Amino acid sequence: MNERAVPVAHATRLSRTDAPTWLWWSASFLLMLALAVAAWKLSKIIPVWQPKLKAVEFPVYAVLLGLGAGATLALLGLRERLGAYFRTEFFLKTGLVLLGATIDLKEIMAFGLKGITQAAMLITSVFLFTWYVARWLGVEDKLRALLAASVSVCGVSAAITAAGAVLAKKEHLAYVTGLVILFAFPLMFLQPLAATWLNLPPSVAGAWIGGNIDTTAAVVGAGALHSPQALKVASIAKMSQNALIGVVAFLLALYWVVAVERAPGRRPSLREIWDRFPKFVLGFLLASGVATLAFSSGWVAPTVGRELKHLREWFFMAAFLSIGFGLSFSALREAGWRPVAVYGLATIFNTAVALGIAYLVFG
Amino acid sequence: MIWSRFVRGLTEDWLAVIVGLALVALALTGVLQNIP
Repeated sequence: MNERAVPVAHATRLSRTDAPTWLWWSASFLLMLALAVAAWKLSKIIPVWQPKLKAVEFPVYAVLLGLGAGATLALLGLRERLGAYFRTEFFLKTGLVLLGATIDLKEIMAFGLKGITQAAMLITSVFLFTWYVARWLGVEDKLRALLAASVSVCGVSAAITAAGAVLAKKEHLAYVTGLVILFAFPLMFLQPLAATWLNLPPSVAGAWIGGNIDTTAAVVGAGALHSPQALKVASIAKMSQNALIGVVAFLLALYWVVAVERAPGRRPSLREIWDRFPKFVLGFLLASGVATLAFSSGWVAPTVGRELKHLREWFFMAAFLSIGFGLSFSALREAGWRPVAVYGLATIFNTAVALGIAYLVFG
Repeated sequence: MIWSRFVRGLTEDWLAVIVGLALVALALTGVLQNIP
């Protein structure tokens, strides 16, 4: 491997010399497990207790618990020693390979040509709008990749995928995840009301909701508030967008390696591109292809899909716990208010374009 | 020798791919279903 060509984060070696003792490793593992179980319990109990908080998904609980544990252990001087298992990059990327296996490529075809047209038009227009607005407002490159992917594709999962593809700061991922959930919450209630007020047919209302709201839980909530037909169409529209996440991750990773990170005035060689390219994208695409083949041919029971989703959620849970555990507030402050403005403008644009496309394709 | 070179050259990126694909294989072959 060409050592000079590889960025530091890609070349994180699993060093033996700085490994803590088995006791610290075991304690770190148990701490991670206990926090993951606690975050999972909170994500199940709180929406039952307060149904309005249904759109608040597990990453929020995981980051908050990780933050609390990290701050407490820092006060006790134990954070470094107990931090061995809190490896954001590893959990994130393993979760992303598992995410690939839960994406059925056939779902892109669920709506036939209509679904592909709607998803491709929306993703392209909203991604480019967010990308350029963020550049105009002076948002840092990696952060705007996260913002553009999360608004245009599918919220938290897309933000996680983009973070892996461009090796973003973990604070940026926490920031964007917070924005996704913050904006999905009012839309979950307002969009079905607006669809009723505009007297939209259920299929157009569903396509609008599925094309605009970023988190899957909020899409289901908003669709259900409108009508059963809108719920069905919204869920399928969302799945069509989710299924394109692999394509977006591949293109984003390639663009980053070839255009953003290249040495000035020199075209990178194929070897350099390969060395820098995030390999999890290949794992993601391979897992997606194999799982689509296995599920569509009937080799495996549909219940296996649920197991894979659970596994994926546990890895993402561990990733968000790790983000909270080592969260740096100075990096969050550094990002400033601009990403909020970008997300707000992008959401307004997405709402308008999604309505136009929903009418055009399903009206 | 090959094994130690492999371990020394292993990055978190590759490790995530190996662990992720291994878990997918275990799930698809039904091994995970047999774990209580």
